[in-house]
Amino acid sequence: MSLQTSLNDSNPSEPVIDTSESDSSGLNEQPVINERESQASKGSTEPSADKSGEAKLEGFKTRDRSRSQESLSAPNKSKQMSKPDSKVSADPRKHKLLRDRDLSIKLAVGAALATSSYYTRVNVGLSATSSRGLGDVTDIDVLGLKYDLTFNSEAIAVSCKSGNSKSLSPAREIFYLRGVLDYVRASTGVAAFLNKPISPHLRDLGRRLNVLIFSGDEVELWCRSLTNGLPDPGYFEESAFERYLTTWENNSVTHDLRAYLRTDYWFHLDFRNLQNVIGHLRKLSSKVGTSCEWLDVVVLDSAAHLCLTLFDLCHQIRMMGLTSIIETTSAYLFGGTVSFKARRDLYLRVQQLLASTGVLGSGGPSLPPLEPLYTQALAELAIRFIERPHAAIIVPQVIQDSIWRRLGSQGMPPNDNKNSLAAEKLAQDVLNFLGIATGANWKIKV
Amino acid sequence: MQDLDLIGIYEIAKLARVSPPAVVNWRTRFNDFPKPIVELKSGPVFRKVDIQQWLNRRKGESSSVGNDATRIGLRLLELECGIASNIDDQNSAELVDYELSRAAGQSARLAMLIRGQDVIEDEQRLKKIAAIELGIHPAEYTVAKRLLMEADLIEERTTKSGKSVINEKVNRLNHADNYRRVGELWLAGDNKSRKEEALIHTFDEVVQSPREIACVDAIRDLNRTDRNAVLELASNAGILDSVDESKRVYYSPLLWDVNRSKLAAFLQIASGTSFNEVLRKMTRPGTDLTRTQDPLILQAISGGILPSYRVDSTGGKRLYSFTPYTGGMLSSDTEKIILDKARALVSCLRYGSEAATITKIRNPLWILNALMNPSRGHRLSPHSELKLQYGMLVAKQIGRVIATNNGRFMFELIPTDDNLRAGAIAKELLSVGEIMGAKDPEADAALHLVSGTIEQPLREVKIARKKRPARADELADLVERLQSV
Repeated sequence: MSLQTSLNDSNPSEPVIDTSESDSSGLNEQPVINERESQASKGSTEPSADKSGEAKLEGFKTRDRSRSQESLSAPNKSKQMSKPDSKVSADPRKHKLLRDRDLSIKLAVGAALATSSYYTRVNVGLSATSSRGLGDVTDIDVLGLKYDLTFNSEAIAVSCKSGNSKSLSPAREIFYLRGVLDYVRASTGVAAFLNKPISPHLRDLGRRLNVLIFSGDEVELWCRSLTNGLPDPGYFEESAFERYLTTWENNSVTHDLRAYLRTDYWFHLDFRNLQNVIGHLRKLSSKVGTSCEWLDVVVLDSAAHLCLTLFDLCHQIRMMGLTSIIETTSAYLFGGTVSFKARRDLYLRVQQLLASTGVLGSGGPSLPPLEPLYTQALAELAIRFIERPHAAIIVPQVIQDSIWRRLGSQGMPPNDNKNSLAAEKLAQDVLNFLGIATGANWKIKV
Repeated sequence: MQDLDLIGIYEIAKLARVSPPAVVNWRTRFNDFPKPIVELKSGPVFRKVDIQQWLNRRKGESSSVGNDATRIGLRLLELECGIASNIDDQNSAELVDYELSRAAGQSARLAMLIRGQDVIEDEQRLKKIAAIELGIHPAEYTVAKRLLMEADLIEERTTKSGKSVINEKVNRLNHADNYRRVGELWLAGDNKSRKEEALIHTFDEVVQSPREIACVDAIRDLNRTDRNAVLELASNAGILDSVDESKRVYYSPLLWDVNRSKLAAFLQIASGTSFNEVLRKMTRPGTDLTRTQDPLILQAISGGILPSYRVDSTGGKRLYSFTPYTGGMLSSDTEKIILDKARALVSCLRYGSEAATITKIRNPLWILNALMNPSRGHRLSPHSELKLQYGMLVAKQIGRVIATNNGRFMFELIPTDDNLRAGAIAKELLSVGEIMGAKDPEADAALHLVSGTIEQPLREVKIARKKRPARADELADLVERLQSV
């Protein structure tokens, strides 16, 4: 590891991974669906579409319209999926992502998972677009994450396909999903084929690979079973989702952060995300001084992402013991004890060298500290999470709820039980920590 | 020499009123110590003007210590604890002069009480607990709460359902930060009385090491009446007391676990400055002073001023010493025994990590964690060196050594309440010394912590009433009063 790299890492103003050459599209320009997916989507508009499949979905309205008809008094009613609508996809006013033919099913599944207390992301890109030259890899249509009390994640990845062309091979999708599941350490995989007939041997294949295979009706039943008895918070409504996308895109200052969260974050999903997200937010804070509506969403979304990495840190601390929390936190920021010690040794050698040559001395310049200045605050946040695991593990969901409320959704009904209150408080602690780490004066409230 | 303005180690020691070994120590410890113009076989030679400037700079730094917000925060807490424990009449007119200090101290105590709570739903309940546990009157609670909000240690919040709750923001790991915030508030307060300023700053100086009260700038400027009033209050609260009947040198009985007469005898032979130097050498709990030749340190150890523990094993005899500072936690006889056990544990573990020849401990904290772990049966893995190394712990009934079939020994902690508590304190002594001490520039303050480990965030701040024998003048006064009745 070069000295420059080492010092760059220690410089909290710069992200660890340079995303300057990253996919400049982020959520807007780059087509989100990959090539394989595009083929599948194209297939859905082909004239050979399975009429019976479409007939099954014929009665569904778009989610927004269905929501207007739904009310909290009918909580058991599941989200309804709109059938692929060529008019919708052709509408040039719509956001590019909203022209994705699988979007309605993705949103419906996302809403069901989010309502059943998963932290949910739609169109999760597994791509590193840094200067190391890694290109687009793949993406997950819907990813739901939940954590247990020891901060181990339980993930569910869903692949949604509404096409029925010959090029869409369910077997290939299932194998592909298995690989993705292994990569994100997800326990459950769901492959939903809205318009594709599913033969029994495919279901057997799915069972062997621990992937649930659903047809159109079954997806709806599954979503209904997920949300059974729960109030409808209105997550992932199309209009709110569009507002979410435009919030990110309408501000060029968020470009780097958006690209990072869209791609590298999920590709790495490890210690690097802490310093990188903070570094990007620090850059943002230098451009946007005070809080505003769109910034709230951006910062909250970043905070929710940060929580997942924080859980990883908490898991490490629990394993190493609370007594060594500061050491574990420092080591985690550098990728583990071994690499941390190596960097610290290098740092000390450089310091000695510079001191012996008279560059550093009493009253003169000194090297910037190896560990970021927020290490102590990070450890403090981690201990708060570890001491209240029941509340901590729902912090990303609390933050996500706050985002949806800001985007016009109803959100979860207020709950004053101990865990909810503590989770709200911990979510606020995360935002306060971001304030300390970035030096921003945003004062955003959950 | 004087003409050339050059001096050596001995002259520097004379100039600084310290011993020559102390100067040698400074050269290694302080990077900014002036470089010698030449190194002769007889020793280094320095320019006097450089040394004088360095000493002046250092003096300036040490005198500014009194304004350190963290330490001031601690002193405020300790003062309030002392007043609450030792002064029966909490509404005494004399206490009016210390209103701001008491409010700040109460807010620090309240912060310690709520540490780890995250959300306080029922403030009324907290108010009652504060009244029962800390003796904070509801009216005082309001002031203390306001100070905590100003210090950003709590914030009020309304939940989505409209309920008003308090978010606790008290730092759990870096205790010094909490004290710093309270201390900063106090320092920034412009309505402090001169008496309370004098009291806090004097207390802060004396708590480091016994001082001649006439040499303490903070109190010297007060008129005689006020000075006596401040010292009387401090004495009643148990935070300051004179070492002998001449009332010349003061120490802090609340925070120093030391025999008063022994201290007085020791101070007959050691000047304040040289005793300061001795204390400075105690860089961490359980400092290895085996090879020290300093007669003053040897006198302090043999006179019981520095509690010391001798450990003997394959690596030879070692002596681990501690400062008499207790952080105000342990002053009853039972608790003294616990502190003694904790220090013994620390000494044995230090030996294991520094002097053991067969099996070296990589991290004493890991060993202590293993000993405290019930799922391991409070046992360490067997090795041959344990029997000797932990012999002192067996003598103090902290644990037992069990022989295995292959000639090795296992050490097992006897899990009584006292031993477990001693283990928890030892853990704190070790972690403060090894974690915060290495990373936190305010580690000195961390040594003064009055409350707990992160496993016990709600432990109450307790400073037991310090019992001290009545002085001859007090007895005479009492007899006189009785006779007049």
